[in-house]
Amino acid sequence: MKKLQKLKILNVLLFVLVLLVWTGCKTENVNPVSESVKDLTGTWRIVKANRNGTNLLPLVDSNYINFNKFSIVFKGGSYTIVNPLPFIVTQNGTYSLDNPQYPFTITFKQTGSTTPISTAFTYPIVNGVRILTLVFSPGCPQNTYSYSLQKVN
Amino acid sequence: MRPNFNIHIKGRSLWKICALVGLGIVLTCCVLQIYNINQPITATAGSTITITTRDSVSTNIDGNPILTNFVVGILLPKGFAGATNTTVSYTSSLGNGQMQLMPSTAIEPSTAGSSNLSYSASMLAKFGIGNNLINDLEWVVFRSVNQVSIASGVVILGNVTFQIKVGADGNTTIFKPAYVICESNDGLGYFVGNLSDPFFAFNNGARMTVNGPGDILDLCDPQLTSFNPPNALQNDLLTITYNEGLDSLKLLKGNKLYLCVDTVYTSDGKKLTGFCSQTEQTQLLETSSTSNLYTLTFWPASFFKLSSTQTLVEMAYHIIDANGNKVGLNDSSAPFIYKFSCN
Repeated sequence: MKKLQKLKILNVLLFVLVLLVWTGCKTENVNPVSESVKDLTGTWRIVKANRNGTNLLPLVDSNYINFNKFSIVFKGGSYTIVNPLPFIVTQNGTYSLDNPQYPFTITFKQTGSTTPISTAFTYPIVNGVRILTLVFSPGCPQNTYSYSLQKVN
Repeated sequence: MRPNFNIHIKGRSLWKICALVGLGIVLTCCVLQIYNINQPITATAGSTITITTRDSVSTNIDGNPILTNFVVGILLPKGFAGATNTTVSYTSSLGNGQMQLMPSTAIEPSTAGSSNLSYSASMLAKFGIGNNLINDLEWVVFRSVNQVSIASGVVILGNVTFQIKVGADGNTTIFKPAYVICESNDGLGYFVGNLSDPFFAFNNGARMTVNGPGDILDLCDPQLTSFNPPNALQNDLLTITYNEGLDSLKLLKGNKLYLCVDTVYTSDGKKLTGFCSQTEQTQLLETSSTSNLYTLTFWPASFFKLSSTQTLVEMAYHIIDANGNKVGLNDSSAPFIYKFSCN
């Protein structure tokens, strides 16, 4: 007797479950969200710097040479370097991205120079903040530098 | 009733033993030794030297004899261009033969399926740069032209002879070679991963000085000053380290030490001076209170106020203290020389 009652309750519960699944399904129109254009406009400062994998920040910390003082300002297709350090370029000039939505390469063109310099870069969001990481060799090609920059404003 | 999921397999240990023996059949090969290295300790750049090593291989193979190549590696300065300036031959109780350069595409077997390293790269990963301090050396690897059939239970005795034209770069080079032997079936692996049971032999050689008309490259002795990166140009960030512990004459007093650049030479033939001072810009800082190591990182192009068209060639420098006491090359008054070059 008890077994029959349990079976009835189970059947009712199964019916309710099927009803919920049936009514829960509905067609939804999803509009695809377009990827935002990557805008570098602003002032960027170095938050991380490596030379051949070694952290440079504790090594370079004086009034004469200091990563905290270096910045690069991107504005309207131009860039300006403040308090220069070994970098991809040494002079101010113009810049461009290979793709405004999905950029993988940034190209710098120094004022007065006809040779553009391109480098791969990554643009991830770390702890809610955009980080621009550039890898380059300003001296010997076997010496690789990696600067990670964060926008100031 | 509580279900019982304990499954008892009879002879569980027996299976483990069988698996181990099975692996042994495939892998057990040899015990290798390099027990006599006959190597000169001085030579002249451009001359051809002879190095011989006496080697032995005790085999322990289950089943049929294996076909394999003898493999030897030697650690040489990159400036020797060892791949093109070395010939190798061997004599052994299984016959004599020539050896040829190991193709860079040949994967060292113990790394196959994981890091897939070449023999040269695998030797560098496993043995590093031997007893040297500056990483300007490479492993040059050779294998026997002919394969050799190796049976079990034999002791193979042999000599490997290296003929090396040393000092191709013309520099005076001080270094310590190192040697490896193995065979191409097992490479640099270990019997069932046991580190005390290698399929190879490794030995360090004696310190060798090759005298040449060029620069002095001491790759194995601690230096009063050293640079990181070792090869750099004016737009690199250059870190100079002064090792005060090696100043045997104790020429410098106190802990305020400075980089004093006497002369800078540029590619347009100019000599720049005026960079010897005791300022914050030139001060080397001790890495910790007891390290006796002092470092300064600087940007040469900015430090020497170079114009955009000037290229640095070399700098002559001393390390000085607050009172102007100087230390130079090998604790003498002669300046240290640093060359700005990528080679």
